[in-house]
Amino acid sequence: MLTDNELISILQQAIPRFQQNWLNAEQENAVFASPFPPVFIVAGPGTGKTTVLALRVLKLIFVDNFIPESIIATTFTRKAASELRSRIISWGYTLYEALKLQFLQSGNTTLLNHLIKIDINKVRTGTLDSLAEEIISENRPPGQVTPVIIDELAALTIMKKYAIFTSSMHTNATLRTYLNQINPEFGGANALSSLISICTSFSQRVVQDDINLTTFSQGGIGQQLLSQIVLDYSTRLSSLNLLDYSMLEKTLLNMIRSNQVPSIANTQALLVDEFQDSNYLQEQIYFDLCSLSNASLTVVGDDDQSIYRFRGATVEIFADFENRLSQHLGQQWRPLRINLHENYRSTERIVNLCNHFITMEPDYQTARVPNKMHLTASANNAHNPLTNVPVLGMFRDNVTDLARDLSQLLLDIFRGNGYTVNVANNRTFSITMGQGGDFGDAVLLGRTANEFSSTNKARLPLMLRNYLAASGVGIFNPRGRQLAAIEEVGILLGLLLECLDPNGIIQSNLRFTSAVQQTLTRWRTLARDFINSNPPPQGLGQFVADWGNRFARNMGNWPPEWPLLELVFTLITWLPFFQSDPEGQVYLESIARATVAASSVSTYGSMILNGRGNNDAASIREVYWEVLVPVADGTVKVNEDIMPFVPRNYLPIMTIHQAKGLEFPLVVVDVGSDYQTNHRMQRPFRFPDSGNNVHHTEDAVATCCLVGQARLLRNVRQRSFDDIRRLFFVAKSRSQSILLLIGRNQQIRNVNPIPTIALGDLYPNGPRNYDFVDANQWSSTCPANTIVLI
Amino acid sequence: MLEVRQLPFEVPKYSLIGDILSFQRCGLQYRYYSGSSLPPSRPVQLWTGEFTHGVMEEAFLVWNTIGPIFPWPCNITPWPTPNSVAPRIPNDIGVLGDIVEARLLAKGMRPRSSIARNMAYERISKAINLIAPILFPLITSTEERISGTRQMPNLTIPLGQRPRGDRYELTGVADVISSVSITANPTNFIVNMMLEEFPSLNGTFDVIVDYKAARRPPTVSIPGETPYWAYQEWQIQTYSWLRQQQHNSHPVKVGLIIYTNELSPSKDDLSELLSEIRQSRTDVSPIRGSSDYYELFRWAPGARMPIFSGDYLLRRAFRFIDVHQQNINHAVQMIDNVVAQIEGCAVQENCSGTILNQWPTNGGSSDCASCDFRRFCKSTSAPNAPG
Repeated sequence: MLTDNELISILQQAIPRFQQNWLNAEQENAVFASPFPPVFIVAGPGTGKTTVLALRVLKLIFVDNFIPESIIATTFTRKAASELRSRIISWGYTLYEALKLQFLQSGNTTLLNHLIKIDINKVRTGTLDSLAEEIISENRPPGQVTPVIIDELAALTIMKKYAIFTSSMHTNATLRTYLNQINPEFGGANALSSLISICTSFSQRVVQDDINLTTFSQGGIGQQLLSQIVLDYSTRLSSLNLLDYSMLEKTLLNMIRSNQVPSIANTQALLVDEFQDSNYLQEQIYFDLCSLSNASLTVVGDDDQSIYRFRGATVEIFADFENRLSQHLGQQWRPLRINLHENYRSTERIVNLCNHFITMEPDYQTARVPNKMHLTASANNAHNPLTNVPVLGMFRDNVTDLARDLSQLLLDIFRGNGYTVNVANNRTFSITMGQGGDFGDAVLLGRTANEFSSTNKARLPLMLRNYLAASGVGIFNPRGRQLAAIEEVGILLGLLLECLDPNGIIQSNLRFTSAVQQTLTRWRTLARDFINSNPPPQGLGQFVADWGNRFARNMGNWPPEWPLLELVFTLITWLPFFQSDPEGQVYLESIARATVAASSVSTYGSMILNGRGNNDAASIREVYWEVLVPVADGTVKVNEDIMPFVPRNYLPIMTIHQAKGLEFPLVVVDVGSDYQTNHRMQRPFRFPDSGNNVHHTEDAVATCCLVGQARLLRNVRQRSFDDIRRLFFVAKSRSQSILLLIGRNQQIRNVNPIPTIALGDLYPNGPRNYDFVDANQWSSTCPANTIVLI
Repeated sequence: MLEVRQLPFEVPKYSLIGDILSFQRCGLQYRYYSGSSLPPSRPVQLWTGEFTHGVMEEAFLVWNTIGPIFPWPCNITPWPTPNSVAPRIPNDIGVLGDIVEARLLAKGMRPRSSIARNMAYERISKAINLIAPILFPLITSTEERISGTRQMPNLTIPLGQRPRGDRYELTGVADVISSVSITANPTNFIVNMMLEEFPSLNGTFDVIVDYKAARRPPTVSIPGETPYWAYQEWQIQTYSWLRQQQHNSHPVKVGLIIYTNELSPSKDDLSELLSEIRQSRTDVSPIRGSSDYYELFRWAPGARMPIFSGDYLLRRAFRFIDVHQQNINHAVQMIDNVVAQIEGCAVQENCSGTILNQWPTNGGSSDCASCDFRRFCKSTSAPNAPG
């Protein structure tokens, strides 16, 4: 319908941001590349890949005349998919309306008739999982039940109940020994919840990596037992007509391979974002869909930002994409490679530090996509001498001092007059909040957001929470604490216990681990204290007593069944934290989700029975096993994504994984607040001696799957180093204006500093590559790897 | 000076039923169920609604594929499910129900009780055997996903804040009848009813069909009652707008809502109907002097359930809506207003960091009765056990 130039012209006329800032040459090449051959876009952080992808979709529609319903654009998270779809729709409609006006004015009815057939909303966008669910549903033959997709919690519940407990695998020493071999970290599979989690992850890996279980089980008794668990789990899922996410994708692949997907058989274009975090199964789906439909393929990603290996992501697939694609589909599919390297996010000094960090390690360079380009700082204000602040470092002798000084710095910026850095030559940098700014403009990122250490000591996030709370500032860090350890959660679940089993008679006949038993006791104590405080709107004691006695005050008879979830929602009448607080919402959703997950696999469907003989107690026993124990032992995890957005007046604390795809004006990266000594238990997180659980598992299955060999190009320690480097590259590149690295003085001292990759230490044994200088020694001639201490 | 972090740019997606109608029912309830993904503790209405839609869709697929003649048997799988069930034919409504029930169970949704389950089967059985023979031959597409995009309306939000997107996306799912099938079935009961109501219908057009697992709402709502009559009309008019956005679609001239509960009314339904007739708040009453009239007015709670004629049941079940541009424009304006309210509440919540005071609590009495959050919604009294 349009030529490239006509599209450019109308985009620049109709969309304000393109009037001033049109694409750079690389972006333009990526957008306007011909539909064939495939396009392989290697896009560093902040280089505008969402813009490029959205415009490429519009180019395929308005220039190449692809119909929107035949275009599939997929990405890694729901948020990223929503952002991509939003751009396509917003710009697409603006373009559509401008063209319509133009054609009407010019009287060009041919083009007008063509235009009005375009329905931008019909472009398929989503995560691969959401698209798979949609495609499977719409291609279902009559009479066939649509499978239901289960989340991680339901998968764990089914694994425990039907694949581990039924065959007493949890007491099998041979299995445990084998699992401990391939999971040497964090106590291996010794805890029941760990054993269940490891088996569930492994089951998913079997599908994702297409592991030949027959070959795998020939490795020994442990492998045989683990294979049997995988088979029992998948058999049970099939019989319940359920699919976990990996089986969902496998189902889609099977349907594509057997040509049972008429609704996508005519796909004209497939665009894949965040390809570096794809697993082997996903790669096969993309390849086979292209093979089936001959679709135009566009792949975008950055191997340096691949951080989801623990979910099966295989960065090696991305690094070797050009060869793998042409080997799979033929030489005519060899892609055109385009590099996006102009960074529009960060200041020059942040960009320079990121470049230095990702290129300083010679050994790592062989793991990257060949011939990668340096990022170039191209943001509007990137070189402004007033705002091009050096990368800052805050290191203290102990974590208490660090938390105190960091909270004071944040309060100075967001509640005070700002913070000034005095550097050499009487220069100063002033860091102040923007007009309308708030704590939500900053973020604290770390490897973990936990507020307690594994030995239950307060960590930096908790101290920060307490310091800021004293100034009336909240923290949004729902992942920071175990659900079971949160006081309000304890009160709520303690009240539940007091209602259902007031004297603990049923509980006393159940055999829990001592840790679970202690947690239940603690919850009851919290609840009793809370009842005694007679919280508003009063009447809690009476309510709980009536429940305990099954006495229906003013209501006649006690109902024969009562939903557990309704009791939970009623109890929050006395707990305003769950009614309005953002973290409270996240915790309440977790408890509700656990209840619903239990109802789909339990006998009584999370109903509390009354007047049904032995069933009454059995329904309560089920609540213990299916809801309360999974919360108590940590199986139930929070999902902070249910909050549409973090309120502006809260300081967000996130893991680096959570921050993927986000950007903040001020980013604080915790590179070592926990590290007082060069302790071997902490080395896996900062300077590993070997690989972690995931790397060892990858090696254990390497000979049983095609993709295994690709990973073996680097040994477990190298892969471990690579993954830490990528993680902190992602963390550092989130920042727009201010990047602050925080840790302990023991990490930056001149003599025997604690080795830390994030602070520039090299594989395999150093040396240190960062310089740390006092602010008054810093000048603009200092090299990129200089950190200004404050 | 630091930049101010903006909300991620987003063209929010609103479903006509899941979002718009939910928010109209109650803002705060919508915030908890949809915003925070809290599942309802008694998804009774949700189960019934999804069961009805699901079985009707399955029935159409089977009818369209193998075309069994009506009536279809309904041998319900006993509850709890025994180890083996006697063989049934593929179009047995019990078999179709099993497929849908399995899907709902896996999502944690069960009927409230065996009585509620039996009632749902009774109603769907009537819907299939009374309605499907006259409706299915007219249907040209089922469960059609329709969507469109509109400009984001002006929001009332704090100074300095801006909406998260410049547009919003609206989605819905509907069955469609084309005028071609209407012309091809001149003796069809639905066609005759439609032409009776809209005698000047002509040309090429479509009819939007939607099922409601509910009774026909009163035409005039009283204080404390959610005005479903108007809301459902807006929904149909907006479906029509959405269809207008699709190329090759014919103009929608009529909407048809099918209230499946009317095919097998409960005692409560009858009491409400009597009251609405006395208050002149319903548009379909039995003709004075007809057998249906005496069946209804002689009935009293405790007496045997009346036996109505098929014609009367269908007239209660079918609601035809006149779709034309003026009505469509009004309806989408109303939907814009709802979206503006939702977006405004979301921004207010984002700025304040709290939920409770930012979302309206405007549920009707029947909505509040089954709401999980009624205990702390502007209520200061403590609940009695059992909840």
